[in-house]
Amino acid sequence: MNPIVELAEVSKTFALGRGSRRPQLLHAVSDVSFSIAAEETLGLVGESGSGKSTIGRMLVGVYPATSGRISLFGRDITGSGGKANLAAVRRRLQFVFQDPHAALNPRMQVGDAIAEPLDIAGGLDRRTRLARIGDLLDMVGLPRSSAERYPHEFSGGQRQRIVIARALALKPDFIVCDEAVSALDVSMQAQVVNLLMDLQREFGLSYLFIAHDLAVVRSVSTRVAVMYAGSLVEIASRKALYENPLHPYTRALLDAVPRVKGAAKPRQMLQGEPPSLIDPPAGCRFASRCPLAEPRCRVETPKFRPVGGDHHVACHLVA
Amino acid sequence: MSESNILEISGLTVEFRSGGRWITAIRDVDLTLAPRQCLGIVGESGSGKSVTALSILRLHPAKSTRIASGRILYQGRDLLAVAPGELARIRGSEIAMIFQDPMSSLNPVLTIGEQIGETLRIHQGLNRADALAKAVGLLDMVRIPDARRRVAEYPHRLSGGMRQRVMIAMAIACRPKILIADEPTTALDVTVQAQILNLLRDLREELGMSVILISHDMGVISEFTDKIAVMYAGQVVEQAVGDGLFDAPMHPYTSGLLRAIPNIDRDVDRLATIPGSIPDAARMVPGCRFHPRCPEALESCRSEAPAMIDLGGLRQTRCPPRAERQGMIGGRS
Amino acid sequence: MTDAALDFATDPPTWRHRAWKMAIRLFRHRSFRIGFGITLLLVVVATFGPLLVKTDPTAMQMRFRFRPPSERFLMGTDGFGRDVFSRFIYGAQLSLWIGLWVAVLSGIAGTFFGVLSGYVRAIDSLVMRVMDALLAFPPILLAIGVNAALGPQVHSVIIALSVSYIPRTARIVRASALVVRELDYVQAAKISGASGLRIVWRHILPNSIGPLLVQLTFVFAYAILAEAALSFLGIGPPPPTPSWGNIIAEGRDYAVEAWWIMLFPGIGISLAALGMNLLGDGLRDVLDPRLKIEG
Ligand SMILES: Nc1ncnc2c1ncn2[C@@H]1O[C@H](COP(=O)(O)OP(=O)(O)OP(=O)(O)O)[C@@H](O)[C@H]1O
Ligand SMILES: Nc1ncnc2c1ncn2[C@@H]1O[C@H](COP(=O)(O)OP(=O)(O)OP(=O)(O)O)[C@@H](O)[C@H]1O
Ligand code: SF4
Ligand SMILES: [Mg+2]
Ligand SMILES: [Mg+2]
Repeated sequence: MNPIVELAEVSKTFALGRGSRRPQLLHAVSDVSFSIAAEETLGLVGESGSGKSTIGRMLVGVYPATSGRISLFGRDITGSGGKANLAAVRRRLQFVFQDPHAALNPRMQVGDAIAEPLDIAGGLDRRTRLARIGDLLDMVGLPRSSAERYPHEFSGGQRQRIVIARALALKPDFIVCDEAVSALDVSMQAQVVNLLMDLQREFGLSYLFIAHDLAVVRSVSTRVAVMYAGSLVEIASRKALYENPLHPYTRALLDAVPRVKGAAKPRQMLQGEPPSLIDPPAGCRFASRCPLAEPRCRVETPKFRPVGGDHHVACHLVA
Repeated sequence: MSESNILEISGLTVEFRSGGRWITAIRDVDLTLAPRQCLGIVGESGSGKSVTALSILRLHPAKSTRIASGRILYQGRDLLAVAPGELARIRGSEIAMIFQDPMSSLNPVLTIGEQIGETLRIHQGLNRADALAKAVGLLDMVRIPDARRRVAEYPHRLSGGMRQRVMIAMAIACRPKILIADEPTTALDVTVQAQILNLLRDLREELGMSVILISHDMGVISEFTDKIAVMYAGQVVEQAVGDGLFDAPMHPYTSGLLRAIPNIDRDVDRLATIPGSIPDAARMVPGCRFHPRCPEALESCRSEAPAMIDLGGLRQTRCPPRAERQGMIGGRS
Repeated sequence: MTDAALDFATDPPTWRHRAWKMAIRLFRHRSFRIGFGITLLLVVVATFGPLLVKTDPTAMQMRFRFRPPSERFLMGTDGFGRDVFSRFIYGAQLSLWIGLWVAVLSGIAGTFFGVLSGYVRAIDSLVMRVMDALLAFPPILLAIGVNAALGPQVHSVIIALSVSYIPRTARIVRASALVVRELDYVQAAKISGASGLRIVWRHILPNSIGPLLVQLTFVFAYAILAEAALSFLGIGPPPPTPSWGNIIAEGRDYAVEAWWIMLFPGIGISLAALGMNLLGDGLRDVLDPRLKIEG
């Protein structure tokens, strides 16, 4: 199948202390490549601060990539002509934020908030616009009367549905869900996740689903990618990733999941410090904390390579 | 009642003004916290967890809130009655709070170093340089890499999880006696989450700090807390010590919550939900507040508002049918 | 729920409907009502007072210098034997006019520069440098300059004061803009392709309005007072023309012996400031959906 999202060796650096004479560079994302097919959900998990949101934001054009190539629906949004290509596909992209409190303007009625993408695209008369708002509210399971209320009158879960309704307004093909359900309780989380999956089935949506809750990721994703300190360390189908994790970091991650009534076996906590992103260490970025690290891990960067089927890993010790 | 509790909330009822009327957000909440104890509060969105937590430090918007009844005894003093100046001193230095939404609680135009430093300067009288040095130490403690170089960053330049850790650093800066943590680790990956929870555990040991942990992650609650209160529609509906809650939930709502936990050990495509939604606080249902969604509801549940039933062993529930069944089983054996 | 949904589907709310609802909410707000009452009273006095009060505010009657308030001179007389009551009534117009224009003009310009520097990061430091320079520039000198250019008239005062209040207003708006621009809802709008203008208009301005309104009520009161200082220096409308500011300025030397000269215009200014303040408070509360007072 043709991928609708494709990243090839994408990197992103931010300048720290812009005022000073010698600004330092923070390597937030380094050489990341992956793709997402139509109607697929790629789960993206990993260390806090490892660059997941930065990738999500690059995919919708909030941040330009520092290097590498990003194509959306077959159009290159990096490089020359990137701006025009991004403008051409903008309608097909959307983003759902983590914090439903910050994602809605407190002074805008819910109806206007939902209709914002429609208003920006323009060309709807009042009555159609209103009908569309009503449909969107139906779709996310909120009463139509919500349109005239303000965000503070809704609970966190309801607000997240409003944010999702806004994201659906222009019938996008690809949505980045940046911890879209993290702020929700389990029951609401389940409702929103089910909603996202129903919408996927109905409209053929694709998602990049960024989250920390590995159980939720398991239930929504087709494939799962794992990041550590700006690099992609493993990517596999969900079954392979959860049942046969290969990278030591993925294993540590799965091992650290807190469980009701304690862990099945005593847990190995990760020791050591996460690496600096300002002057990243040579070799594997996980080496400073990896229980399996060998001398060569500290000098030679492991290649991200296939290890059978669509399972890819970046680790020297995986055969 | 008991001398050994550092915090005792009793009969707490909080109302918000809406549509010209006062609407009850939480009613008759009773909770206690012993030194070094960790109390977990779980419950659906909108069930009143944050309202309860914010009441302890009287952090509600004054204009539209009133505490209709109740007492919050902290070391024997009623926090609802202490003078504002005294309350300001207690806030931050003795009772600290980690707020649910880091972005709206951090000032976007101050660097994180300035913000952590400010707390230290106010409560511990440190000078600017010392405060900054200590801020770096705190950022290290919450595992922010390159803390020394990142202390001068503005909040929006940090990742979501880093902001949350900045909030945690601010809250533990003054080594409080009680830490109220409202969803403190939702933006963290599980390895950092484990480190932060270990850090809090160490602080409990070292300083005798007590913690109120609000979370919807049942795994976190189960691993980290020693007492759990389940809230629904503004009331505490079940309380338990230890794993009892997970072994044998004594309220159908708790059972529903446990069923809705996604399973990490299997591929499932549809998550279980609790059908229906939490009742509107302005039109509270009569009887048991959970009855419209309860698969086990009896006729009596629709009309009689159940009181808290003590089951012994520090176990309490607001569900009479379940309590009765438990009693029957107990009677037979 | 469904009933509301039905109405809503058949009868979409128009902007007129919204404005009407807003007006209803405003008038249900107590401080707005009081502020509105006070302001209305002053405006009526300023507009119709001069038609009713026949005494010439500039007529000097040396026989009646420094008369305390009495039945004949309700607010007493000043050092030239002019009737303070008549001066108060005639002066109201000028003072309120100046206060209002200065608040409006510095509000508009301050908002413009505040948004510009808060939202367009590239020119932030440039705009703020200019604002700092303006803030450091003595307003008196500015006023003298404008006065020299335009002549001694009301416009000179309004322009000079408006310009000197721009930096403060701009700073307040900039602070809000800096906060709001980083919030997720602005990001969301950008992702949907919103123009800078739309973001400013729909997101940044509505969320800056609270502090802005408070600031402008202060500007209003300060402007009325500052006009007095300027008229003392011979800037603006020449002295016989009464304004609350210059009545106070002229009465200052006799504050103890002839307290009534300063007292009444002083009360007038306080009342106007209070009225504006309450009006602004009400407006701020009603514009903030989170503080909804009624349903
Ligand atoms: N606008 C920005 N300016 C400077 N640095 C930034 C900016 N946005 C992100 N960063 C930095 O880039 C790194 C990666 O951040 P990112 O938000 O992508 O992490 P994340 O994987 O989403 O983490 P989390 O799980 O905590 O949300 C962090 O060190 C962060 O501080
Ligand atoms: N300032 C307020 N004004 C009016 N109502 C409020 C206010 N704060 C909270 N409420 C209401 O009180 C109820 C309880 O809210 P609370 O924030 O405590 O929920 P919660 O249990 O913390 O939920 P979540 O898991 O989503 O954070 C909700 O119905 C909410 O709408
Ligand atoms: S490459 Fe080496 S250090 Fe890196 S994960 Fe594999 S074993 Fe560990
Ligand atoms: Mg993130
Ligand atoms: Mg809450």
